[in-house]
Amino acid sequence: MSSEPKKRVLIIEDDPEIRSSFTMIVDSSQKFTVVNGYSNCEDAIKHLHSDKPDIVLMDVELAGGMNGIKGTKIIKEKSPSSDIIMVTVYEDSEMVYEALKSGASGSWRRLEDAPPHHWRRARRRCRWPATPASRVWTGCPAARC
Amino acid sequence: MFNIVATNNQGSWDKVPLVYPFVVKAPFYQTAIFQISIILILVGIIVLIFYLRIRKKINKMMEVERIRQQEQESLRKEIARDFHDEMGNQLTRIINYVSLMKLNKNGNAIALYDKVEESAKYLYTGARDFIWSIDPGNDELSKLFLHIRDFGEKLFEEKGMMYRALNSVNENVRIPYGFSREANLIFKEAMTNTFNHSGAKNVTFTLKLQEDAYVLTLVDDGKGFDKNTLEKMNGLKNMRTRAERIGGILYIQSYAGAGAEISLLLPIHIFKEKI
Repeated sequence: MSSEPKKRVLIIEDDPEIRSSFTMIVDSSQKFTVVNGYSNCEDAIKHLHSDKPDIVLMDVELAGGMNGIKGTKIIKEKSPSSDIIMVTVYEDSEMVYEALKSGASGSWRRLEDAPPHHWRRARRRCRWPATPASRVWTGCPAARC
Repeated sequence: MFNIVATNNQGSWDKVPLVYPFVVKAPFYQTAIFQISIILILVGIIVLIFYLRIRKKINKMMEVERIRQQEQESLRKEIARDFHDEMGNQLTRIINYVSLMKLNKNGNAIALYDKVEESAKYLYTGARDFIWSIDPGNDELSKLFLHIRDFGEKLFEEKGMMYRALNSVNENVRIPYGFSREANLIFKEAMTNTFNHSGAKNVTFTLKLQEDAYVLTLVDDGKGFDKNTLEKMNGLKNMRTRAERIGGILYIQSYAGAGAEISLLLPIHIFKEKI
């Protein structure tokens, strides 16, 4: 059992089933806990002060409303210490690259990379890259944690 | 040479004529150099005109080819994106459910098995629909009608609802790529809502030509719904977004206790513009 406090994770995902299953998976980890989940960026930004996330899992392809890129920019402005991980099904998404330029810390391809409960294992393989383009990791969304 | 022989008033002529040598200069337009230059300039202009015309044709052909390639590329991207949209979420759900099963070995696995099964079925029908919609042979209004009709038949049969489908458009109408997929998904969503929530006894699906638009309509005699509440729901937003993507208009009419009517209007002019 780790003595460190659990990292606070915020999930922004418009599919309710995926959001709840991510929540359960992340909560099962000893290092992370989900503080809240939202279907859109607007609600997440409203509650950013009370949620105080260390990590934000942001769906790149949010349906309607504010998109993940704009959301990333605003969250980064309001909470610069939060690491934003762009979650995508796309292998090579221009939107991910745009989001990285807007301040996201990395991307996580949800069909290919390790699921959240494997983050600790994946951690060892990762290092913090220098440029946004090289931050499109495989298998390590929580590399800094 | 200009020779002059003069006479006096006694009639005596000069024996030796006066000679004035002179030269008549030709006007510039009669000079060989000018004429050759003119011919060369004319030939040059003709060659230039031909060259410019050919170059214009080549440029035009290259532009057409570039646009064609761009269209092909954007179509391929669109197909890839549609495929990801269709499959990505369901596959993510399945992966997450299986991850949860692994994590909670002693937990309530049955509910998760059911969810995996549901997602796998959805994925299967989604994949089948997707493949159907990218086949150019299915870009036809009557085939779209039949595809949606068949989905309704299977669905409403399960609850013993009376289901009728009527197509009053007799001509073959080609529809642009993407129409089949979006219209199909709009009515699948609408039919599933009717199936799950309406409590209707009779459901009718029709296709007709109404003034300058083809209209697909789903009508039921169920309990109806409050449109204001429904407007906020994701399903309806998705239906509207899909209709907008293909330049169609979605009309929803419903009152509590008075059934519901959902129509998708496809104005004829958008068919002509896009095909």
